[in-house]
Amino acid sequence: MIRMFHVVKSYGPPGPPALNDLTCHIRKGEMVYLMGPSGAGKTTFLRLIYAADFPSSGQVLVAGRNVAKLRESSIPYLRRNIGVVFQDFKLLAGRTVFDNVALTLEVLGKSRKEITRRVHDALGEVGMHAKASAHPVELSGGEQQRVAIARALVGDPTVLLADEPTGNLDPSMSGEILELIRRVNLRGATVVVATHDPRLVASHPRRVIELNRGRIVADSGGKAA
Amino acid sequence: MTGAPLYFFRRALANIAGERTATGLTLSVVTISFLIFGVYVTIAQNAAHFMSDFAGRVQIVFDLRRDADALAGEALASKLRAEPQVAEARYVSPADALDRLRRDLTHAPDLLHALTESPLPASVEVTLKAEYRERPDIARLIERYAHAPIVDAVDAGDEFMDAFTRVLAGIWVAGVVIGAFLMVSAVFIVANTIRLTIIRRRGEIENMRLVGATNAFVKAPFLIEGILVGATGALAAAGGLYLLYRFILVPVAVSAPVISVFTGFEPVFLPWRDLAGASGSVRSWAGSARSCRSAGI
Repeated sequence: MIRMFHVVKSYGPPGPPALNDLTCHIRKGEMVYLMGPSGAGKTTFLRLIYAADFPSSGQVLVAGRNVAKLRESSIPYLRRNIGVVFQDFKLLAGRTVFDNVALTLEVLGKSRKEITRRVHDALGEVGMHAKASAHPVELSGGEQQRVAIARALVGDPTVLLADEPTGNLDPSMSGEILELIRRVNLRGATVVVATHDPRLVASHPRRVIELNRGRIVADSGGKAA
Repeated sequence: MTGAPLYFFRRALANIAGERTATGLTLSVVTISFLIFGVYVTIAQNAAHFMSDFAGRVQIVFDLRRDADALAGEALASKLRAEPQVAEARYVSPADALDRLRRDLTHAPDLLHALTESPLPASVEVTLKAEYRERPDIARLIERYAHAPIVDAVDAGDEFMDAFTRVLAGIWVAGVVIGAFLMVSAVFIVANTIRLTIIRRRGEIENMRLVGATNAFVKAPFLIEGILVGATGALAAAGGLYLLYRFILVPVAVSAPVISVFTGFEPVFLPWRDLAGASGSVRSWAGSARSCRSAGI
């Protein structure tokens, strides 16, 4: 599902590259933890997958599409297959929970009726149905992350990326969020979770790719790409 | 994308309703900039209208010799009427001229009381068609008839015409320059206010892109919002402009001595097509599109 071949990503000459000659393969339906300290290149790894950045050299293939060669006009169509969850949730403060989740389907041009049905289903799945009319500021951090997950999964993505999804949450809430992510994986989506928290990995063990200074230093389940 | 236009329209309305203060400020800026532009265009249009109205009143007067009789005068008038550039040619007898003078001097009837015979010569007054009021046309007509045996002198008001032609040309040039400047300013102001709106909503745009929105999808509500705000601003400016026209320009124009001399001149309001919301909408749309481009969407 996701392949990287000798990927280098550099943001400028003064510092070392964020990713340095990185090669890996994440299979369809797999759940992978991307681990490493701050600055290891985890976020850059994810940004290359959803085409927020492009490799300086090397190739990134996502669901058969070469991100490095994508035209700007094709990027939205790639992103419609990818759900992204962030540490800071990135919800729209001016919109209700329902409207935040509905945004994904509005972009896809779905009918009002279908949007209503699917948003309620997604909110039910993350246990936020009762707060559909609330605004993000009225929610706790854990609740906001549930809404962000609902927004990511409502479009039935084939890939779910989570960048430090539990970074702002207490341990019990972290467990619940990770359980939701694991359920998305069980539905068939390929999931990549970037985290620096070993306790999270220990609670739901899966394949771990460890990054340091832009290089893969360990891969618990990888084969040569 | 079924129902997309309706969705964009709903989204634009929701954006307007959600940011009343910002929208109010944008609307005020748009209204004021259009009002300034409208005031300028109204003044320019009325100045041009006044000049053209005045030019229409300028006549070529062929004064006839004392010994020319009415028959010869009528014959000259008839000959002039046959000229393609002449709208009207009228023989005025000395008696008619005296009657007119008496009418003009009703406030001093004693002045002409002693006159038993008209001191004024007979004349033929010629009004030219609107398309033949340029100086070369006037000169050509004078040249053909100034040496007719019964013609004593010609008064074409050339100096007035020259002055008016120069003023009209000046108004036209100033109109183009100032009009273009105000037009560009209006677009610039609208563009920048909408740009601020886009910057304020950067988070929303980022989120839309993240879930796979195309550029057109992101832009559409902003453009519709720009059109709605622009149209509302233009209509408000048109309303304000009409009030200024009705209660300031008309009373001033009618009471100003230089204008009241030419009875019958009435100030004109802008043609409605210039004031239609479309005018403001197009400018706002241009502003919105420019803002979207410069904000990278």
